[in-house]
Amino acid sequence: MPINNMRINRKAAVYLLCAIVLIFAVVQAQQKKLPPDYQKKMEAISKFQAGVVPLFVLGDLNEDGVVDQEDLKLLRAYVGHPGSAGISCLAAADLDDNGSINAHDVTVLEQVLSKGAVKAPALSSHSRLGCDFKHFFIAALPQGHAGSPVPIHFLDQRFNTQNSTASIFAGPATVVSNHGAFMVQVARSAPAGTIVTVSITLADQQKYLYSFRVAPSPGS
Amino acid sequence: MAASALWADFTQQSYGQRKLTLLMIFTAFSAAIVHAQKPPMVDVGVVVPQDVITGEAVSGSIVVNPDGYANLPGLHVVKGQIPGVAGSTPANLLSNYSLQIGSGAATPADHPFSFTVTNELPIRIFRTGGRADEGWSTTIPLSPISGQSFPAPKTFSLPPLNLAGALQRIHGPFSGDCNRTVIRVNNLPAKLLAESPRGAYCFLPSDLKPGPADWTIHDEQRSVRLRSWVLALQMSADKLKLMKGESTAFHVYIKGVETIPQEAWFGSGAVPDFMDPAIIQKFLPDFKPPSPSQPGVLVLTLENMSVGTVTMSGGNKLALTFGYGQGKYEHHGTLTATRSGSFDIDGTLIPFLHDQPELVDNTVSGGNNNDNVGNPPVHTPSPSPTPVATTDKKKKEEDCPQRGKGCVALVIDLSHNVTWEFDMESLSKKLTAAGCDTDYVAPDLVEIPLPQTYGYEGVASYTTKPDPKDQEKAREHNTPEWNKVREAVAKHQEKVAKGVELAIEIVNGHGGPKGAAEILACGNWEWKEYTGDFLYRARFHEGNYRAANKNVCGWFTSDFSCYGGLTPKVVDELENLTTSTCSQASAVACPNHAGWEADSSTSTATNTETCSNGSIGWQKSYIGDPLDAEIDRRKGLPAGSASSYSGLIDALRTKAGESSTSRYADRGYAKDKPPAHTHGGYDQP
Repeated sequence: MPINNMRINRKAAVYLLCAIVLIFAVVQAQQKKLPPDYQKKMEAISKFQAGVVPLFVLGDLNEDGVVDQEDLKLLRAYVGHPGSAGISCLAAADLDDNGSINAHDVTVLEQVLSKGAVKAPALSSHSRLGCDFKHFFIAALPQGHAGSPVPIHFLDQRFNTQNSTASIFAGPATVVSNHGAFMVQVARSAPAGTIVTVSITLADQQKYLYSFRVAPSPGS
Repeated sequence: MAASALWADFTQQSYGQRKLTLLMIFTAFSAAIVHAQKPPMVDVGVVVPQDVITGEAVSGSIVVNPDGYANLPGLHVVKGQIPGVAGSTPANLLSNYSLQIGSGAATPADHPFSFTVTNELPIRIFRTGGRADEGWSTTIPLSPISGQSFPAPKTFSLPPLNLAGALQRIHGPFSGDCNRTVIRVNNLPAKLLAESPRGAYCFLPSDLKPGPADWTIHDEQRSVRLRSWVLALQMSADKLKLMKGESTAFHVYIKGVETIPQEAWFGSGAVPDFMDPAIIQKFLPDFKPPSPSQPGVLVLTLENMSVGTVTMSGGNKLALTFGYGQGKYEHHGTLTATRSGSFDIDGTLIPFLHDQPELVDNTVSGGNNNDNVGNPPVHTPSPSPTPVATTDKKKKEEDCPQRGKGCVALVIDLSHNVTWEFDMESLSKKLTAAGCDTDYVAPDLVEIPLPQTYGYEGVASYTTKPDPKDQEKAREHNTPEWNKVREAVAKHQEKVAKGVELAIEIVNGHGGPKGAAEILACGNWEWKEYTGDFLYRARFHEGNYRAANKNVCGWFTSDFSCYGGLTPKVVDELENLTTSTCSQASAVACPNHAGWEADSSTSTATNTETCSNGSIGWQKSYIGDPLDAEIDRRKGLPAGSASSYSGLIDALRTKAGESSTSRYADRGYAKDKPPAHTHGGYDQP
């Protein structure tokens, strides 16, 4: 068998794998309440470790990239008359992370905005209330384990580990760049429940803070 | 000198036990020193049957190692001491002594004696030709029963496997008088130890070769013939002394097994004579002796008695099971020294086969009285034991007993409601379309709210304070969801245990790595902190293995989770060692395989790593493609026609079982000859 044919076959196999992933994604998109372009976004996520999810900006209800008075207005409107007009990321409105949107979330956002526009918003992985992920730019594991790495991946091709930075803002961990991602290495001695916060500055100088819990050892 | 093994038979009481040791050399030296001094007192014992009835004749013996008989069922031992004799050995010490029962005639002490049962047995052992006080006298109280508490057997029978030189119990209507009983094995005399009208204990000739053993028992006016098989357990190591860090191969061969015919390979439902059930429990906690209708097995236990010096591949306690027609009855492993020194490995062979009856085509001179005692025909159990391989090519090959009994599948989809994870719903539908009775359980698990910190530069960070009511509400929501999972598991195992052609289990979710706790040795699925509960991999697969073992033609399990390589690893261990510790190296013991023709297990991850989300998506095709082919094949069948899952079983073994990130596959207990195990993606300790 000529070697060229072998190469062609290998390529075909690679395309086939991509196609299979896409087909599965399409099938799933029909069964779950999913964001627009889910299959495309799922394909991007598929490259990463199982469990890695896209992050959204907490408080950025309209996903315009900033947390400001416009978001507070949308939140107040939603609490007064539940409806999602103008809100593309309802999960971002759940600032107290209790699974529902209410007056307490308004209070929290008011406090967040009390000193003006937020310079470095928080990122969250808890998207159980739904989010369009218009701002589909970064992904990470929702929690870590002592002694294990928590990867932070870029979903937007404009950003990479060369033009962006990540550092530990708080918590027992270190950050290294590895294979196009930042790896947050949680200390072996980190107790369960500890919060690790990572400061991420993208190429456009926009800064975010991502926090995750250190989960207990398996089974506990 | 070339490295060779030194073997010693330390005991004849434990069936087929051998030790590999250097200590024997030192024992020999110290024995020589002792004999150069004044002979010490020597422990002796009187051994008589326990089942004594007033007025009956019974027989016993004097022995020089009474402790060795202390715990043998059916025997009563009374210890005493007699002076040693210069120049004698334990083997010939008693030839210097005589014994006397009551006021009866003196007889040689190294021969069995008989007596009529009363309430006590007065016995005197004295030096032949010596002083009258040079010996030991005792009166042994007996507890004879006057009634018929001991059932009297009508026919003779004996365990099917023996070891040269070992003690053997024979059930049968003996006279009880050793003077009237002659037992020969392969025409060599077997020395009697004790006898009652219900059975006899004798030592097999020590020079019997492995293979068939023809027994003739002459007792009073009757003669019967029986057949058993003599085995030999040979153990050796390439090196007997190791330096720290050095390794050596060791080898165990069970000789003579190949001569045991198919009809002898059935269980008895009981633990063999002289075998302490605690030993079996220690090695195989859940082992149940096969019943008379089930295939019999030989269990070889290996125990590292020098754990401070060496480690044994596969673990320091190993139990290997062998079945009919396996071809090779052997085990090869590695010993690695953790410090310099010699070592000691115990090997014990435990047969779980039914007793052998009298042969009806008796040709022994003097004839037998089978007709008079209502002797049954030769034992012909049903169904036939399933051979691992048949040597009779003319005979039509036996098929899987569960052929045509359908397929059952269990799909636990813990990721069904998770946005950014692939689910197994489509695979579940394919299983159903392929005719499998499928239980698809996708619990709706909600995340229990936990404190979370959010940082905003320029303002103070804040930490959420979940309301305990919300946490409790989440737990209350999840509890019945977890119950659904457990009920589905139980229901599935119940279905499999009834016998099906193909059993399938698939789990999709978040997998955890190997944990320090024993129960977490193979990790778990899901986190209790976030969902309120979790599943243990080891328990899940162990339960499925127990249900499937010898009840299926094919068993397939797949784990779509991080660290999922722990699933093929534990399946490998269950399939060969029947344990689920995830700490054993791969071994080959095909009779332990669950399925008749194939067992396979796959995962999208290794046992030490996470996996990509995408790999879960595309590795579904390893299962999906064979299912699609099976669906297409079934579409072409006439409605209602019976169809085998053999093709799907084979496809799952080959495509899934040999392609996934981690995998284990074998060709079942009937077809794995020579053993062809596929394993990869998980480490070997």
